[in-house]
Order: sequence, then C-alpha cells, then structure tokens
Amino acid sequence: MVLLDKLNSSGNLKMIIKSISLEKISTTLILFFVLISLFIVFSLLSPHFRSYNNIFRMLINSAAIAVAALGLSLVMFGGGIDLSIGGNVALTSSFVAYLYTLEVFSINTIILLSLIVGLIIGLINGILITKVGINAIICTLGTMAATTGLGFVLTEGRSVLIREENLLFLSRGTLGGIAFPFVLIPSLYLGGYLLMNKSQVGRKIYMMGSNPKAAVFSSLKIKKYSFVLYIFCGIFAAYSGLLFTSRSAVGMPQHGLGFELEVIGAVILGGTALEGGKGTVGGVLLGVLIMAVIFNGLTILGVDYYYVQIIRGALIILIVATYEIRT
Amino acid sequence: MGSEYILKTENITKKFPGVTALNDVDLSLKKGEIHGLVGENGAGKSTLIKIIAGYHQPDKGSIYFDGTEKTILNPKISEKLGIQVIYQELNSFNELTVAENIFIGNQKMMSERKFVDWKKLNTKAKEILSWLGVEIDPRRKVGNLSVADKQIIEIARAVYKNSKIIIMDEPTAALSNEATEKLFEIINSCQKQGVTILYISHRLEEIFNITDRVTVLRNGKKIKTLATNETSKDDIVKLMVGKELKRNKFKNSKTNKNANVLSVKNLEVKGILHNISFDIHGGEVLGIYGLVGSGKAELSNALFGILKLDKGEFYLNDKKIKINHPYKAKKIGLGLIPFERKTEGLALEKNVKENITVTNIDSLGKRFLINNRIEKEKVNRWVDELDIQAPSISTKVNTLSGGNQQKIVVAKWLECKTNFLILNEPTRGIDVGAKEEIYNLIDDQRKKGKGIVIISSELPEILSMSDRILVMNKGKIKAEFSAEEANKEKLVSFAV
Repeated sequence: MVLLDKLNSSGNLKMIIKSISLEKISTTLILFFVLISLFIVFSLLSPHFRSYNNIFRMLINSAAIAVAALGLSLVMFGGGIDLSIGGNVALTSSFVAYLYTLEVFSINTIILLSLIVGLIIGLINGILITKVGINAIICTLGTMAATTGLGFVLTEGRSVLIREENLLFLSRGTLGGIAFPFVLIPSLYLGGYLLMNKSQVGRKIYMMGSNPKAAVFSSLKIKKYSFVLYIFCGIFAAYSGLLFTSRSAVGMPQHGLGFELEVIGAVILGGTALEGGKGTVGGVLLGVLIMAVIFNGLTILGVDYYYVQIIRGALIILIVATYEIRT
Repeated sequence: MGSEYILKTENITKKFPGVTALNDVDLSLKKGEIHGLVGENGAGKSTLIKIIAGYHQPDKGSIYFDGTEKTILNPKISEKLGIQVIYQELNSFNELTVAENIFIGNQKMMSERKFVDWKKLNTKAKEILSWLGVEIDPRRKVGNLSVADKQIIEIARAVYKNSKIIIMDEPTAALSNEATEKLFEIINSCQKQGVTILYISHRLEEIFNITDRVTVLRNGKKIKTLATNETSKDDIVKLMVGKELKRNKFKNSKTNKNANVLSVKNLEVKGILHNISFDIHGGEVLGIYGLVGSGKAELSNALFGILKLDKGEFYLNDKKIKINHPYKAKKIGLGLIPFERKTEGLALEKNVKENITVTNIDSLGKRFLINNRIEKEKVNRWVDELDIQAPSISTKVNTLSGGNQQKIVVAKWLECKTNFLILNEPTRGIDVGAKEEIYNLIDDQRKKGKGIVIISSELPEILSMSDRILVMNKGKIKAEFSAEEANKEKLVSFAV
C-alpha cells in the first residue's frame, strides 16, 4: 500500500478520481482495478516485490517513462503523434556524454543545453508538421532515425561514465526528505491535469484533437497549439533522456532504443486514443504505473526478459480491447 | 407468381434504449412503383430502412418479400433478395475506378480467371452507364468524381446486381437541380425495367415529382399511405408534423441606417471565384443562390479566411480589414455555419456543452481557467433560447438529430456575439419542423440587427427568407434581385 500512499500524498489521484465524468470513470476505474490487482497478485507471489526498497526503485525507474508519456499524451490529446521520443532520448544522453568529454561546460550548463536540444527537436517536428504539412508519423519517424543516428555519431557508439552530483540528483537526490522524482513527477502530472481539465488551453487541445477541421472552422488556431505541443513533447523527452543518464550515470545513445514504443504503449494503455481528443492525464499516469508494475513484478519472479515483453504486449492489447468492446 | 406487393412489412416494432423507434409499422411496396417515404428526423425512416436492409432486427412484426415471409438476419440476406440501399453517406471506394466500384463484390466480373479482365470490366461498365444515359469514363477514379456522379455509380451498382428494390435515402441532398433531374430520369428508367424504388427525401417537391405513392411516418408510427396525385404538399406536411405549419413571410426591408456594413470587394480565387463584390447590411438577409459547382459553397470559406484569396478586400463600415483565418473573422464579428455540419461544424465525439462554447473558450473564466458554473450558464441559455433537444448538455452531439446539431452550430456563433452570420445550406438534411425552427431563429437574429447571408440551392428557402438575392454561376455573381422582383424563374434562368 506504500504505492497508494505515495500517490495520495501527491494529492493527485484523489482529485483525478473525483472530478472525472461518469463516462470516463469506467476507463480510469478499469485501469485502477488492473493496477491494484496486479499489485496484489505480485505481492502474494513475491514478498520481495512488496518490499519498500523494491517499490521505491520501481517508481524511480518509471520516472523516465512517466515524463515522456506526459509530453506525448499532450500531443496525442491534440490529435498528433511523436515517434521521435526514443531518438530524442538517444541524442540528449549522447549529447550530455559528448559535452562532458569536452570538459568545457559545467554540468548545469550541459543539462540546460541538452534540454534545449530536446526543444529544438520538438521545434523541428513542429515546423515540419504544422508549417510544411508533413504527416506526423512520417515526420517523427524521420526525426527519430536522424536523432538516433546523430547520437551514435556524437559518442561514436561508446558509453561515457558521468559521475556528476547535479546530474545524479535528478534521479537520486532528495528535496525536503523526498526523492526528487517523487517531487517533480507528481507536480508535472498535477500541472498536466490542471492544464487539460481546468484550463482554457486544455479545452482547446481536446477540441482540436477531436476534430481539427471543425476546430479551425470554430476559429481555433490549431497550428499554433500543435506547434507548441511538439516543443513541449521534445523538452519532456529530453528530460527523460537526462533521467536515463542520471540513473545509470552513463551517457549513451542506447538508452533511447525502442523507448518510444514503450511510451506509446503506456499512453495508449492509459486510455488515450490515436485519433485524438480522447484520454486523460490521470489515465496516462495509471498506464505508466501498470507498465512499471508488470515489468518489475515479472522480473522479480524471474521471468525471462523476452517473456516479459510478450506478456506486456499481450496485456496492452487485452486492456485496449476492453475499451473497444465497451464503446 | 408472388403477390401484387414486392415487399410488405407488418406490425414492425423496434425499441432502442429509451425510445420506441418504430411502432407497429406497415409498409407495402407495389411491384415497379416509386414509393416515397417521408417524415421528420426521428420519425423512424432510417430505422425502417435498416430493418429492411438487415442491419437491425425488429422486436416484433414480419417482413414479406414477394408474398413469402422472410427473416432478414443480415445485410447479405437482404442483398440476396435483391434489395439495395443507397445511403446518404455514399459507400464509394474513392481510390478505385468507376468500373471497379460498379462491380465491387462481384466475384464473377472481378476475377473469373484469377486476373481481372479490365477490358471486359470497362466495356460492361460503359454499357451500364450509357444505359443509364450518362457518359463517365469507367477508368476514372471515383474519388475525382462529383457527388452527383458518385451517386450515379452507386445506382449503376444496384442496377447491375439486378436489384428488385432500390432504396434511396436522401439522394438529392448534395445534388444540383440539373443533377437531380438526371437522377430522376435514371430512376424512371429503372422503374421501366420493373425495379421498385423506395425514395426517401425531405424535399417534398421531389416526392411529388416522381413518386406514385407516399407513406408518412411520424414518431415511429405509420400515419398514412396515399396516392401522390390525390394529395397535396400541405396535406403531407400536416401529416408529417401533426400540426398545421404556417408559412411565415419573413421579409421586411426596414434597414437600419446605423447598421454595420461588411463589404466584399473584387474577391478572386483562381478557377473558383471571379470578381465577387457585395455588401452585407446589419438587419438584412442576403440570399445567395446557385447550383452545386457555382462557387457558392467556396464563397463562404473564402469570406471566412479558410480558402486563400488571390485577390480581394474586406471593409467593415468602410474600414479596411483582413480576414486570413477564422480567428480574424470572429474578431470582426463574423460567424459561419458551414456546409458540412458533421465534419466542419461539430466535434461529434464531444458533448453539447463543449461544442457550443468552442468559439468562445477564452470567456469561460478568469485567468486561463474554465469555470464550470459560467460555462453551464452560457450553454443552458442557448439550449433554452434555441430549444435544443438533448438529454443533457453532456450528451455527445453525434447522438442528436440533424436539426439539433445545426442549432448547436448556430449557438456557438451566437455565443461569441457575432454581427454577421453566414449560413451555408443551413437546412440541409433537416426535417420540416426543425427547418421552420431554423428559419425562425435566423429571422430573430436579423431582427436583432445581425447581417445574415444565406447560401443555398433551395429556391423556396432563398425566396422566402431573403431581403436581397444574388445569383451565382460559374464563380461569378450573375444577377441581383430585391425580394419583390425575385421569383423562381428569374433565379433559375441566371443560375443555369
């Protein structure tokens, strides 16, 4: 129950559950039920799973996917998609490694610059998709390949050990006695929740995602909004790259390989629709947590990594199928 | 063999959660007749068709085909019996050719010898099309055809399948007068071949034009079946709405000297609009009449900053303004009720509330937030004022009738305090009762001093609503009439 306490302490979950309309409750409830049942099952199967240390580590490890998933879900609520997240992670992590080996910049500057790299990737996606008019899947597939490649070029495929306190702080530090990710991520999700559920901009994003054409006819500047969303997604993905680097203390492009699929999986699992306009920030958080519990639980039970992938894939399909069946 | 009737339904009852869509409906189609089916939206027309076509199962009642009782479990069975439905939303395969569309699903024609015999396919398609009296190249992609031609392709498909009954749901909704006449010719030649036609339309003129008998549905019940030549339009309207409708004369030309004036000068969009100039005055209704393809549909998008202009200027009260995005249009007080209600007018997956406030989200609360109380107040006001029928303001709009959907589109522009409203085919696919409500609503807005432009291909609508009428043809304004001097013949003579 530590997990639930953690969530409640952030004030996030209660609020989400309270204010969601009847129609959406069922999606969130299903996810909540799945999360709890998985948690109970794994706890019964392995005492090690429910240990404080394990749950702590599991949540810290899911921080990277949580940040990226939030960025991506905003894009997807608005009807877009960003496949370049993995490439973005690969490039930012490599970029950190590259700058670090130059020994010119302080680590704080490096962190800032790598977030700017993420911003630029988002900017490029935004320009190509909204100004040039390239299909989002094709465009971000292109930037995914290019950024991944660039990451390998920067590091020449090697990994660089980076033991810098300020970088390690991102995943291991504490703020007022609480692990820093446990401060930052609930805050980001709370911000995301307020943005999407309470703010005017959030409404515009949902309306735009639901029917972009009608949104234009209703005087919404949809290009401006999706442009900004891609930039946000880029920055969030870059931060996620920093988290990977911080957690492992290693800067390398391999961090990003296949990451976008993991993130998309979690976001879709959380009830977000590919066609846009649907999904909630709370649902996405639950999606991320479910993915984390499955991965951690199965690994602890000694299930081979490849089987974990199979089970995870099957579960995503199963849960998303229940959404389709209900509608 | 068989009976006088090719199709007969008896006591068909169909209930959906919360509503009885059909209640003891009897319908009988004589062999080879053209039978009209009319009723307001929600009267049960679509449900009845869907039962005949096998998409729904009736809760009660029986269906007789050529005298023998049949259970139509699915669309395949109904197709096998020779029943073909041409739905309002066309089922064309846009990426395939005309010939492929005609023979789609036809194993024999498509792949007798493992490979498609294109020559045979195209010749046969050409034969069918010329029998229908149209010249369309069978090798053309259907996606490039006009709506009218797509409709003809669907009819060709039905004809080829040797259909005994062709059901047409609002076939002329998107057709010009010319295309409609062509369609009627085709329907008549189908009839001569012994095909029975069930013809559904909101346009009563058409019903009187081509049908032999007509059945009226109201609130899921069959009211009456009449021989068309023994009844009148007024009678049918009375049966449809259940109460007498008075045909309002909206026209009144007392224009206010202080009213806003929006002027459009020398609008030019290459190949579509040429040298369009006109004024819209507050407190008047300007009707723009034209056939499909006359450029009138594009005109509304050009006025609204959606269609890029090659040339042209806008003036608001003699002050030059720019409209290059709907956002700018809104700022100067212009609202548009677009041609495509479902794709341009509404986010169908979103609810009544969200769709009404979408144009004015910034006003929903302080400091970038949405205040639920303010939003509900705003929405409820429009729901009351426009009499929008919905279970609640949180109902998704895709479950509402066309008339209520259209009111929502109107509401969202009234919500942001527009001075000018452009309505592109405001009553397309809307039943008689709701039509009248939309007209009253337009008239109310005009009385409140708004400048209104109605773009329409329905003559009665243009004639009864407008203070001034422009006729468009081939992208140009061909003529202007005052309400007094306008009549059907004049308008049509300039439109064709």
